[in-house]
Amino acid sequence: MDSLDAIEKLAKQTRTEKVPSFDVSAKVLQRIEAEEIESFGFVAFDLFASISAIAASVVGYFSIGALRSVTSPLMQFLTPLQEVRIW
Amino acid sequence: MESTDRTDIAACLNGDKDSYANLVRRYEAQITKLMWRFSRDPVVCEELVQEVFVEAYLSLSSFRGDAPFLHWLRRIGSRVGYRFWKEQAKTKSAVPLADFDAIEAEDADTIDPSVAAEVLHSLLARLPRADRLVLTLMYFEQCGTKEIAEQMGWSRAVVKMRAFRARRKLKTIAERENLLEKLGWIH
Repeated sequence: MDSLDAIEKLAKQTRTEKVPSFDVSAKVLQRIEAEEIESFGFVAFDLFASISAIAASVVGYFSIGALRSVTSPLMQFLTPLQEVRIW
Repeated sequence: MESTDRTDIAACLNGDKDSYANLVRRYEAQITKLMWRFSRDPVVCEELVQEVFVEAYLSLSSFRGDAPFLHWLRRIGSRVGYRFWKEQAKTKSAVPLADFDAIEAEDADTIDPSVAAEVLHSLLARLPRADRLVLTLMYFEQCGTKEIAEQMGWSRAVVKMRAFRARRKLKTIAERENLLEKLGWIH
């Protein structure tokens, strides 16, 4: 007999094997609840991160305008020099 | 799909977890039988069964209801088991066939099914993961190439090729491990 035929026969017997039985419903529900709490935590974090990003964008938008209008106090010393003819 | 399944799924999607518990109780035996093919350790097997039902719950909204709910669960089960083998690949090594006692039986029909399963499991564990999956589903679950292709999202041609190659590899392994000597009842 070929090895593969022997394996086929083993497989046929294997299909009648009695497998253990578990009652997993309670544990499954427990794990689902844990997953949901965890995913809620992620949603809350995502929401917080999104709001922070929006706030940062708004502040950034106004600060760029403000920065453009800021002039250095040193400029009042430099401005007369720019008008001076070197030669 | 059974109307009880349909009712429970609809209730579950509306947030009724007890309905999901009904579904779990209805199919846990079949899923345990499938996951037992991926791990023969009862503790690990129970965890895999839980994993299947948790994954099924989290993607329940994507279940279209075209095929029976059990088919969908079995598809998730095969993928969970396949992933489990991937995680185990680096840590576990297969038990050599020499470690098993000679299988004493008059003929193939009188051999203890759990002993036959241990030997077959040990032989299949030597194959690459994809080959092992194809033969596991074929030998243990009597799945056809079409069913395996559907479960794993592979093409049927790929499954056929894998099955052919896997059988050839398995034959080589069985001969190297002197399987026929172990099986005294084979003539």
